[in-house]
Amino acid sequence: MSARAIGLALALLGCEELTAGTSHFPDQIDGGVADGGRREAGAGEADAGATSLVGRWVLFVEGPQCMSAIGTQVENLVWNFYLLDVLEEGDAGDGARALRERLKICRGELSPLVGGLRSTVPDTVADALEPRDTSAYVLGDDVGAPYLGSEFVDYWGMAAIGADAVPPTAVDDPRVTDADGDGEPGVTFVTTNGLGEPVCEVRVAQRTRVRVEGVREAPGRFAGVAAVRVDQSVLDATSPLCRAGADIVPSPTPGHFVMLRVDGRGGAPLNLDLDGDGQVECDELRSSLAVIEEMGAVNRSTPDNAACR
Amino acid sequence: MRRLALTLAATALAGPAHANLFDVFGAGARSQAMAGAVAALAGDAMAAFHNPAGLTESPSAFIVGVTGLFNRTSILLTPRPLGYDPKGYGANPSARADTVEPPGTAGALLGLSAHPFSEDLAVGVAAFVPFEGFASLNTHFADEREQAFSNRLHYELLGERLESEVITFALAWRLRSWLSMGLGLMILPGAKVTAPVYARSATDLTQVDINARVGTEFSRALTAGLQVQPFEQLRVGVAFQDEVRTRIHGRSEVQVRGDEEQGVVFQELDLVTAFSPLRATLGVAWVAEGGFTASLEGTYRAWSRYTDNHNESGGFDDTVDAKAALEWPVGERTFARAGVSFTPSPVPTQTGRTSYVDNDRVGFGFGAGRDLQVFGQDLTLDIAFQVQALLTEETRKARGAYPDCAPGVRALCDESPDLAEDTPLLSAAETRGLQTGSPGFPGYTHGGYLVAASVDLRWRF
Repeated sequence: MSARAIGLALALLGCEELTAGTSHFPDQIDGGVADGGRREAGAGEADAGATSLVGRWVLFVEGPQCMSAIGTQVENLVWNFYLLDVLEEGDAGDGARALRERLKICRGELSPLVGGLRSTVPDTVADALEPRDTSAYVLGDDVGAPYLGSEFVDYWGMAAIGADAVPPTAVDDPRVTDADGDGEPGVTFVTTNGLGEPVCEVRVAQRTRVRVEGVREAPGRFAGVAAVRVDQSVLDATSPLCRAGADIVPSPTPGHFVMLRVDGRGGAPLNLDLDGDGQVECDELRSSLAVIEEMGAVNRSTPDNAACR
Repeated sequence: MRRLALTLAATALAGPAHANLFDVFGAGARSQAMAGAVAALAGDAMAAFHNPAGLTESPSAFIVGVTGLFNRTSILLTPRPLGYDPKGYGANPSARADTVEPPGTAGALLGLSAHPFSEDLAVGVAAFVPFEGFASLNTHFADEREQAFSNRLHYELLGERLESEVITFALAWRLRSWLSMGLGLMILPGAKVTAPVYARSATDLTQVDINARVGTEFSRALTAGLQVQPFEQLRVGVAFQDEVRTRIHGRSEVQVRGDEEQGVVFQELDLVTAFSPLRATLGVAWVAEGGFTASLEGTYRAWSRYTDNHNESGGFDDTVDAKAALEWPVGERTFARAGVSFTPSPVPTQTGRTSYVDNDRVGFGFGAGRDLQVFGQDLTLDIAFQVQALLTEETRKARGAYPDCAPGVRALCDESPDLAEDTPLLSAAETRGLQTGSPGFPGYTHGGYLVAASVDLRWRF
C-alpha cells in the first residue's frame, strides 16, 4: 500500500491534522454578552451619566500619509495602538471636564507599500518609548459630548526637539538616540517582502504628531477624526532600497481615532486585565488586538493611492 | 504542601499500577496483528489475559518480546472568549495549553505457559513491563480544578494509562476434549498512607516535619474463561474479567504548633490511578484445514462504574466493541495475520463541567509469524503492527444556565457566584455572568492515532 493510500485512509478515519475550534461563547462584557445579548446597566447606548472617566483606555489612531516608494506616490496608513490612562479629571466649567492623560504606545503598524513591501515596527521599539502626558476636554457627560484632545508628540530615536524643528539626518547628530537599545542609531524598522521575509533594516529618527477630536459615542467609547503628521529622516539602512528617504506628508484622506475603555469599569466594552492583576499592560493589549478587531471595535481603512497623486 | 508530601509518599511506595496496553492493542504480537480477536483461539501464554481457558491449547513455551508505542494524539483547546476569567486566572502556575503528541512508551513482554502435571492442566503468566519503570502514576482533575495544576486536558483512558505494567496469572483445565475452562487473577497493588505532619509555624509551611505510615494493598480481579469446540473447525470462547482499580488512599494528620484549639486537622487523599472495567467477551473462530483461521469477537465493558483519578464517578456509558481477524499460511512455516476493530468511547459528550477526553477508535493490525529451528530448539518469531485511529471529535460546552460550582454539580458551573454588591476582594461586576477557568472551556478538538509495534520470540520446551 502506498504512503498516499495510507494517508488517505488515515484522513478518512479522522487522523487528519487537527485544528482548534472556535468559541461559540460570545465575549462577555461586564457580565453581559457582546453579541446583542444581556448588557449591564451603563453599558448601553443611552446617556452616559456622570461616570468618572478616570481609568485605562485604549487609543487607536489611523493616520494616512503620502510618501514615495520605488518611484511612485502611495498612501501609507499609520496604525498606532496606545494605552491611555486618564489620570485625573477636573471641572472645566459649563459641564466640561478637563482630563489629564498619560499615553504609552504599545503597537505601531504600517500598511503595505508596493509589491508587498512593508515596514514593520518591532514591539521592542514601542516598549522602549516612555509614556508621555497630555490633556483633553470632554464637553459634557452624555453620549454625543465633544472630546477635544491636545496634540501629543512621539519622538522615536531622537531627543524632544520640538514640534517644528527639522529632525536630525546624521547618525552623529547629538540629538539622535538609540531609542530601542539595539546598538544602532535611532529606531530600527524592518522592511519585509510579500512573504514576510526581511528585506532590509532601516534606522530612522521620527517625530509623530497626533491630535484627535471626536465625540463620546458610548460611555466607554469615543471616536472621531485624527490629524497625524509624521516627519522622518533615514539615518542608515542595510541596503540602498531602504536608504532612499521617503518624503512623507499627510494624506488628504482624514485620519480617525477610537478610544475604548478597557478596564471593565464605567461601561467599558472590554476588560483587558487578562491576568487579573488589576492592571492592563501592553502585552495584554497586543494579545487582544485580534479580538478587538473581530468585535468591530476599531476599523482599519484600505490605502487609497489615488489620494496621493 | 502537606498534601503534596502525602502524595509523594504514596506514589513512591505504591508500586506498579494497572494499565490497559493489552486492552487497547492486545497481548503479544500475534494478538496485536489480529486486533485482539483471539478469545476463541488456541493460543500461547497471552491467553492468560485474553481467555484463561485457551492455555490448555497452548504449548509449553516461554515468550519474550518488545513492544513500542508511538503516541500521535493531540488535544487542541478552543481559544477562550473574553470576559470569562475568574479573579486571579492569570496567576495560575501554568498557562492553559494544548496537549500535543505526548511521549510514547516501550516495554518488555514476558509470558510463560506450561503443563506441569498433565497435558490437561495448564498454567500461564502474561506480563508487560515498561522499560522506564513499572508505572507512571499521574492524576488530573477533569474540571476547572485542573487550572491550578497542569491547566491542560489529558486523555482519560489512553496516554499515561498505557505506561503501566500488566500482570495476569491463570490456571486452566481441559474438562472434555471439546471443553476447557480457566481461572485467573489480575493483581494490582495499591497503598494506604497516613502521614502525620507537624508544622512548627502556621505561617511558614516550609518548616514541617513529616512521618509516614504506609501499607501496601492488592486489588484482585478475577478472570475466567471457557473454550468450546463443538466440532473440528468451530471454536467458541467466552471470557470474563472483573472490575479492578489501583487506589491510593489515606490522610495526612496535620498539627500546628501553638494551635491546640484547632487540634489535629485531617486531610483525606483518595486517588485512583487506573481502572479496568468488568468485561465479558464472546468470540467465535473458524479454523480450516491447513491453518486458515477467521475470528469474530465482541466485548462488553461496564464503564458505567468508572471512577476517575479522584474517585469521582465519571458518568460513563457501558460499551460493546467489535473485532475481526484472519490468519492464513503463506509458506510452509509462515503465517500472515490481519485484523480490524472498532472501539466506541464510553465517554459521553462533555458539554458540562467535566472534560474527560476520549475518542471512538478504529484499529488495524497486521503481522506475521514464522516457526524456526535454532540449535535444535523450536522457536517462533512473531511481528505485528497496529494502528488505532482516533476518530476526530470536537467538544463544545453547552450554553445556558450556569450553577455555582459545588461538589456534585455536573453542568458547566460558575466559579464566582454573582455578588449583589462589591466586597473588599471582588467587585460585583467581576462576578456577573459566567466565570470559569476550566481548561476545557469553551471547547476542544481531539484526535490522532496510536501505533504499536511488537516483536516476540517464543521458545517451546
